[in-house]
Amino acid sequence: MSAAAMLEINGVVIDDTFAEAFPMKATRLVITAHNATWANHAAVALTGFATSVIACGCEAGIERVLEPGETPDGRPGVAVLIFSMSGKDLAKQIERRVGQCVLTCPTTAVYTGLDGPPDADRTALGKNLRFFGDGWQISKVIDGRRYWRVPVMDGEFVAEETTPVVKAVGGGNLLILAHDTEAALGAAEAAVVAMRALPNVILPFPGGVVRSGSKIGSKYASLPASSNDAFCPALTPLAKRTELSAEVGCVMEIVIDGLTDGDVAAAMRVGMEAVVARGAAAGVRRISAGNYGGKLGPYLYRLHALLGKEGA
Amino acid sequence: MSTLRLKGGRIIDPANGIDGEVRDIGVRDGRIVALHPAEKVDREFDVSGMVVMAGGIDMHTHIGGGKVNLARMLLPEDHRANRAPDNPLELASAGCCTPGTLATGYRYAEMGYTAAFEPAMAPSNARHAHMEMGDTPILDHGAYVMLGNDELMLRMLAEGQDFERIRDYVGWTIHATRAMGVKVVNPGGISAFKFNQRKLDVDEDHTHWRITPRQVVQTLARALTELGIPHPLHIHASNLGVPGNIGSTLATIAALEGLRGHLTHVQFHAYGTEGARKFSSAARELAEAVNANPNVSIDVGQITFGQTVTASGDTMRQHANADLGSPRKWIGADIECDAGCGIVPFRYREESFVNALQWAIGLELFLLVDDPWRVVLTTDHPNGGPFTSYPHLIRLLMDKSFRDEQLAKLHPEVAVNALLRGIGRELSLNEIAIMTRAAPARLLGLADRGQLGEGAAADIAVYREDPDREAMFTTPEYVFKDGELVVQRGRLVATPVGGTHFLEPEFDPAIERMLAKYADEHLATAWRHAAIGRDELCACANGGRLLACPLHGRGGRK
Amino acid sequence: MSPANDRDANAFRLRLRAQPALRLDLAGFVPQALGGETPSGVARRALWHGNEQVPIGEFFDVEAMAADGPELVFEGDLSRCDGLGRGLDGGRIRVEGDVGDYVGSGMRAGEIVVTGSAGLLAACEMAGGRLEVGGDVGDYAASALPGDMDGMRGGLFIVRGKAGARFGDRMRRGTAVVFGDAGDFLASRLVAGTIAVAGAVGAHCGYGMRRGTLIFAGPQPEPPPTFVPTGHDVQVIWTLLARSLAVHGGPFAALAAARPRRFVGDLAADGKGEWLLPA
Repeated sequence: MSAAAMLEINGVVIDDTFAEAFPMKATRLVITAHNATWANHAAVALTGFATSVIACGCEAGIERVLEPGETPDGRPGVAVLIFSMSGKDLAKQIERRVGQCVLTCPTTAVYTGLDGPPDADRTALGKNLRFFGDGWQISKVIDGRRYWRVPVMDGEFVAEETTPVVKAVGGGNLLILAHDTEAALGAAEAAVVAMRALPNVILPFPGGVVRSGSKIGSKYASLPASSNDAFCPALTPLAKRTELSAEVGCVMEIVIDGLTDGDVAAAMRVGMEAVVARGAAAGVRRISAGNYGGKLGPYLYRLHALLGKEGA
Repeated sequence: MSTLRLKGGRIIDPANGIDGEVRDIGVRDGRIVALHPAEKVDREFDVSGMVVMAGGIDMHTHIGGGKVNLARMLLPEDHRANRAPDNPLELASAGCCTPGTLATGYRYAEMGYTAAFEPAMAPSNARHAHMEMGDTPILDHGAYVMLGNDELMLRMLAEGQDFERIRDYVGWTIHATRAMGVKVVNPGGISAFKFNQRKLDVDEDHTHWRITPRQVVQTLARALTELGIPHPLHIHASNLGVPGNIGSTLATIAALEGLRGHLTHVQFHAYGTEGARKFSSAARELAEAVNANPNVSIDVGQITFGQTVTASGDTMRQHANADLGSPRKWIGADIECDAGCGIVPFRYREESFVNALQWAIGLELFLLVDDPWRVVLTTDHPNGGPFTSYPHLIRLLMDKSFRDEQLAKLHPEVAVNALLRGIGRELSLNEIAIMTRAAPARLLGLADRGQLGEGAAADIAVYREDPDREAMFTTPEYVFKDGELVVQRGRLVATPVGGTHFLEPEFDPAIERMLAKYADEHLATAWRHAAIGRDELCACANGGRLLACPLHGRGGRK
Repeated sequence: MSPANDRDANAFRLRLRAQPALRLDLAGFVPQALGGETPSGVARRALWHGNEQVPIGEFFDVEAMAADGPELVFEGDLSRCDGLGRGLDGGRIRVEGDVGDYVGSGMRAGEIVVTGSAGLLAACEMAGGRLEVGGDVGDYAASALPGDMDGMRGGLFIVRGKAGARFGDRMRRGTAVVFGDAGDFLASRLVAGTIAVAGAVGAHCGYGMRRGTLIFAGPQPEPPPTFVPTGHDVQVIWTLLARSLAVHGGPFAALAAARPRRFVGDLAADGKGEWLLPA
């Protein structure tokens, strides 16, 4: 790292590097229920086991809780975002997850949370789930939107027919390098709180944080990815490509999926600011980011630029 | 007395063995006569270079009676699609696949047709049929009365009554309804439908009467032969439209045992079950049977693509087809337990495998039967398509390259595999004249129609030569009806009233007592109203001429 | 009209001079078909007057007017003028007065406003766009042409006055709002769609309805014996519907707060239609 590229704020070094993200397909769903508890149950279940497309089929998370005044039917709700690598994968995940986690959940209804351009691709929401109604389902078109009404034991499950599929960005990330576990976790948690306050993004991993950062490939031919040895403190003296110095005892990563390039950038910025605000005094040493040399995706987020310090 | 001369036309008159000879045709008082070249005439038409034929005769077209009217009522949208009126001679009438009576006459005449026969007149509805046909201008007309599903005949057969009594009943029915022949529709099947049978093959028992379609066909064919009815039994065979029905069709031919029979709309009866879709052409098998049985004649019932409506007496099959309707509505009806009907709107689609194959099968039948005198050109209007598609159909038959072009547009499996592809035959003008004029006249026993010999009625169509046969047959240069010019350049110039062809066979009047008793016990209408007298027929026919047709071997009552 | 004023325009004002002796067929006189025409060119366009074709200038004074887009404004008592806006596919038509039969029939897009009343078959087979009638509509509004399988099939139809008999017969989609009373056989054979009515309804309401929704914002009719109550909570769909209707104001403004009773029927015809009775 050249001296010219050195950036240190509040004792925290910001690496002159970039996070690398890739295109995804996404949609937003709004789940409402008789009260906030049941809307939350459905949303938590729907976004469960959705940390990485590698094995979950999608990455999903709760975007935010909605007040009754904000939802189509005037009930408490939750907005969730779901990201997949293709429209087809997304369609499959929506059908499975809404079918198993929302259709099943007492008093819920589900709507699209995107207006989408008129020519947007749309994917089925209630369109196929309606067949659960075994012929008793009915539909209603209201102001150009079709809703399906499926009789269920607590009344009727209302689901909007389709939801737009939009281009989105997945895999934005930050690496927080700290002296010890306590410091790394504390910084990561602060960053997550700040980032989750923003719209249009989710942090798909448990608690928003991931400790098993990965690199592409493995010595085992069957594995597409493996542990990011360059950032494993256990391997600092061993791994040839280590990025760590002896003072780093723990690294945490935050992965961000967002509806647009700008949404991911904004989330990374507030995340970094939250970490930097804690400063070296809280045990944070560096902020870095994961990239694959620009090979993986078209979206590159330079950390210095995000902080307005490019070329400083 | 009026005379006219058509000068220098190329005459195509197969009934008199004339194929392309250039000569004049003279007409006096509606009849074709030999005129001395020097004789002055009231009007002379220079038709040199043009083709002169007798007026066209459609021997199977649903133009009058209950189900035609039901079809009109079912499809008001067909009438809204009418073209804007532009000829003050035309009174308001509309419709494409279910035209009103007036439009029917206008459109037929504009193509050079001068006669049309309604093939499915229910006995109890004969008045209505005659009145609608009477309201159809220009065309001469007649109808075949439906028998073979009426309770009375089936009961007589089941009871083993003497054949002579059944024959008298058939003779009385033709006489009373002033019919030109007898049609049997799905023999016994329409009745069986009412006893909850959903199919009835040729040798299958009617569940109630315990008689078979074979018996019905044989009995009726024999009765018509003995009564001297010129038109052979008009047979809509069993299992219409069902894949594999070729077996039923061949069995029906066998059931005739050499008696004359006319199998109608055979396209719908020539289906095999080969191939992955279990639906295939059996045109070759049927054509071979027709070629081998000189007692058999056919009309084809070609389909054409687009919207139409199927109107059939075959309640059993139409009930089965109702779900295929487009638009999705239908009517099933029955009247006095003597005949039924089913109306199902239908759109034939080029991209449909089934429809494409039906189209190919129809053309294959036209082209594989050797003797054009036993093949009549029909679309079974409106069942296969409206009669206005005849010029297009003629071009398909006369022009192999045009046919191939159309075939290539169809469902790919049909376009590639159809038997039709390998058939190179192109019909000549002479053969077209046979199939559209001479043959139907001969099959109906109309001695003075469908031909241009001396003494024949001056029903004449003159076409301007055009290599595009569709254009040629769409717009005749002149059409004459009984010597009166009715169409010039494809446009109506007169709309005279047509005449009614009918038969008055003899029968033993003793049968009437039994019929009266049956009517009193079972029917809603009074027996004394059953028969249509000549005066009433004349009134029904809008004052048109009564054209009693001579019977074979007897000569009709005059 | 002076030649100087006879310029191309895309909006015209047509003032009826005198009542035609017979019915006038105005089908085809839609804004988009006349765009770029001059007033005198419009006046020369032929229309059917009974059985004969005459130029529209025989009956109307035509002048150009300023407008944002293609638009026609008709003034006068057009109750003998039929087919206005038939198949309209964009642009606006305004009638300042009454209009005859078939107004907006088969329209797919665009907007028609009639300040007076309309004759028979208004909005029949309407498929999209917006049609508003300030006065009453005759029988068979929002229904099907005789013999057709589907009536109104999309769009928004607002009647500020009363509706005649057979309103919404065979209607399949779209929303119709009636501020006044409705005649007999409201929503008969309804296939689907939404009809909201603020006034009283005549006999045989919902006769043979298969699916679709009837909302009674005013007097609450007694459901016939072939309709039965369902006891479940319909708050979700009710809120969606009520919020959508609230934009029409008046009796429809405050429906969302209600807790409607729901009946389904006609049990004689599938029975998946519903009546929502909020009071």
